[in-house]
Amino acid sequence: MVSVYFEGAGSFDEDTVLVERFLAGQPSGFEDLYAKYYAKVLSLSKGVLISEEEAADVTQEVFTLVYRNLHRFNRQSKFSTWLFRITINRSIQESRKRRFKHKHVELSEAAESAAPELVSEDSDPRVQAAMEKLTPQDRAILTLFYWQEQNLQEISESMEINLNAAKTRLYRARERFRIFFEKEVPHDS
Amino acid sequence: MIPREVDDLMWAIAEGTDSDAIEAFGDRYPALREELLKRIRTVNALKAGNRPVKAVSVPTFKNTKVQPANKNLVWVTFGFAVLAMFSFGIFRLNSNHAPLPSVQSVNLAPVKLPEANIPRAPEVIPTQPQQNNPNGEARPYIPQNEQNQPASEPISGGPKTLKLEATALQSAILMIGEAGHYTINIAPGMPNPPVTVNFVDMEPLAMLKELGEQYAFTAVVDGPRSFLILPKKDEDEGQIVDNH
Repeated sequence: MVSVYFEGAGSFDEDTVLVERFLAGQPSGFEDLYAKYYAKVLSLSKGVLISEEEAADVTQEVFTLVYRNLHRFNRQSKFSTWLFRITINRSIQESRKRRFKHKHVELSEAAESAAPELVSEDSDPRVQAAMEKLTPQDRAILTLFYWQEQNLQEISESMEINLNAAKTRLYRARERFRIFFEKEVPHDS
Repeated sequence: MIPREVDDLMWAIAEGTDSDAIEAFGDRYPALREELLKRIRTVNALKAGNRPVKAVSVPTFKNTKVQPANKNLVWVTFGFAVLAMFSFGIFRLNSNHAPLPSVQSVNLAPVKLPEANIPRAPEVIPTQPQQNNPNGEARPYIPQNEQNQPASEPISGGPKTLKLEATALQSAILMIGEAGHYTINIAPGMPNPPVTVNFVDMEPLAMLKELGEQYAFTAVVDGPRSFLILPKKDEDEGQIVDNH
């Protein structure tokens, strides 16, 4: 058993063992990482993209990137932070691409194809509606904080920003969400 | 407007689940109790949004080919680069084969002046700028020094045609100066009678010389492409004198 320690914070990152195992030629290392983080990556991507279908595609791409570039993981951060950073970047990229594409889709096509997938059955439609009005960056930081339960330090590493910027962005994103959310909520509730 | 400290405190309380803190805040800021409840509702909604995605079962991983997100951008950039290189190549090709413009540069330095007729340039020291001429047609005298000279010599543009009737002499001189891109300084005391000129296809320098012969003034070269116009003395008629 190889003992690997996360150098940045001096704490043990058990995922690094799996990474080392994979890099040593054992596919099970990657399979374990995939099984462990698939749902989290999908959830994070869905938080940014809203569409579960697109999030599933991005998740597949993210793990493909990780599979091919795991040797580039420098162990300066936790594996999960590195993974979430890739997920955030890829999801925001996809979101921009989709916005560009949607601008060029006929309204009738958009009404047929886009509407059903935006509202998930098991999500609060008011939260969904408010989230849709935010930017992908706002959605990313709220998803990391509330859904992935990352702290501000982890968020700053995942989004490659400093701690103060993470704090400010979270504050502003939450404020914007609140404004949109309160418009969705009846006043007597 | 809620102070930032109170705002932060409200978010902190809303993020937590401490009912005592909620009560304490409500007691301290009764006006903000409703606002705090809204934030608690917002935070609860955000947290409740963290529901498991529908696809519970993890699909089998396939090492699919990932298309770079910026592949189109790369191709567009490459296209622009090729287009730019092509355009530059055509531009260079045209530049090499285009006939040179027929620019006749007038450089005063190599002008051969008649040796015999070169008098010594008079010492002209400007005293007062000429503000108002009684005729109202002359420009004020502005002393020129080396700093005021143009860095590069303008092109005279070759022979010109100038026809004037009953025009003030000093105005005519200034017009010739403009035609030749010369700086003209007219000395105080220069006469300014009405003149009629009819120069056809003449170099501005020759115009100046001929006009000087007709109306008794001397053009003294006092700098690169700069002339000082002086009233004639008896011994120098219509000359262009290189003072340098």
